[in-house]
Amino acid sequence: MSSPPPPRRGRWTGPAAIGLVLAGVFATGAGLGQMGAGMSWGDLFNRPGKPPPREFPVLEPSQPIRIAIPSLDVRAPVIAVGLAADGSIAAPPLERHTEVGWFERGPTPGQFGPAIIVGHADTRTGPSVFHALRTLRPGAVVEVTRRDRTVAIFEVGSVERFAKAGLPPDRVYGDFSRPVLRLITCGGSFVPGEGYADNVIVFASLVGTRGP
Amino acid sequence: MTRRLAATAVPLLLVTAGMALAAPAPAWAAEVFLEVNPSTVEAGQTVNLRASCDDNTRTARVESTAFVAPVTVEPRYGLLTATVTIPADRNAGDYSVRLTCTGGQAATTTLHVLIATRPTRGPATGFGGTATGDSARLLVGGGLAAVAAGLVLAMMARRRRADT
Repeated sequence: MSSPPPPRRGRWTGPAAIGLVLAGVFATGAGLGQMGAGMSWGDLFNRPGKPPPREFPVLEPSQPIRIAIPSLDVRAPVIAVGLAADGSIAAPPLERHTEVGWFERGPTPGQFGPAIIVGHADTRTGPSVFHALRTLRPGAVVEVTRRDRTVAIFEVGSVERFAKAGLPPDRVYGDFSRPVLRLITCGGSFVPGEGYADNVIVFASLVGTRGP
Repeated sequence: MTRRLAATAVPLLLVTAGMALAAPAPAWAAEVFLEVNPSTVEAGQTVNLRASCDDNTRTARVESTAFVAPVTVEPRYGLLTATVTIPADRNAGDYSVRLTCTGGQAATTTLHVLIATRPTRGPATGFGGTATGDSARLLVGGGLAAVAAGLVLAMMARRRRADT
């Protein structure tokens, strides 16, 4: 039999434990409250993708003019964008951060192949049009209105994050088996002077059309 | 003007009458059509042609300036099919594709060709205004560690109480 622990130490363990837990919960909550475009609770859970439909419509080419993502309350005009100086897809200029850019070298939304639409996650001071994109769920609806007044209705298959330096080209640009849509914005950690380290990409497939 | 119209109309009428006499449409006459799948493609990739003539046991010709040379579609599963590669040097644009059946019937469709542009560098779509700062990361990490430490301490305290 060893000697019993000193009673003084035992008296303090209980209150210390309670204090630590309380302070920890408070700090965690405060930290989560500050989390921005980089991460979210959703990132901690694996979200299974939704397979594309077996049957799908196909539309003739027509430039997109508006996008709507009802579940995120996003409604924005679409402008055409080309390539930036570094060879990446150009994003709309900062003063038009509430608009999104359709990559004009790719197919239009509703044609066979991947139509690509990019939008800012944030400005230097606050959120932009695609800020909440990473919270989009498989099965959510994205509607793109085109110049011919038809509305291409896409369904989200998955929302994924890739290092900005290496997007998977075949997955992003290579699917010409059906009309698909890729929504791209920024995510991951922010490196001052360089920008965000990752891109958040929404993969969606055409499931219906409306109009004109 | 009217005379020229009449001049073209007469042979047309004769041709139509001749066709009607020569080939009475059989009850099973298939629709004459041409499909390109996918109808939008990057230059350098292949597309499938699916066509139908009145007689799908005989080959037919499909022509387009998007192809290197005219393509022969051959009978398969009751239709006429072929696979064709669009040369990588074709310009982006809309190309007319024309089917000519052995019997003379024709159908056209459009193939949309794009130039493969696949930037592997992602677009710069943020300026950091809502970025997660180091303080947030520290708060979450430190907070979770404090909670864990607190729980361990609490367990130790209960054990000791149970021992005494």
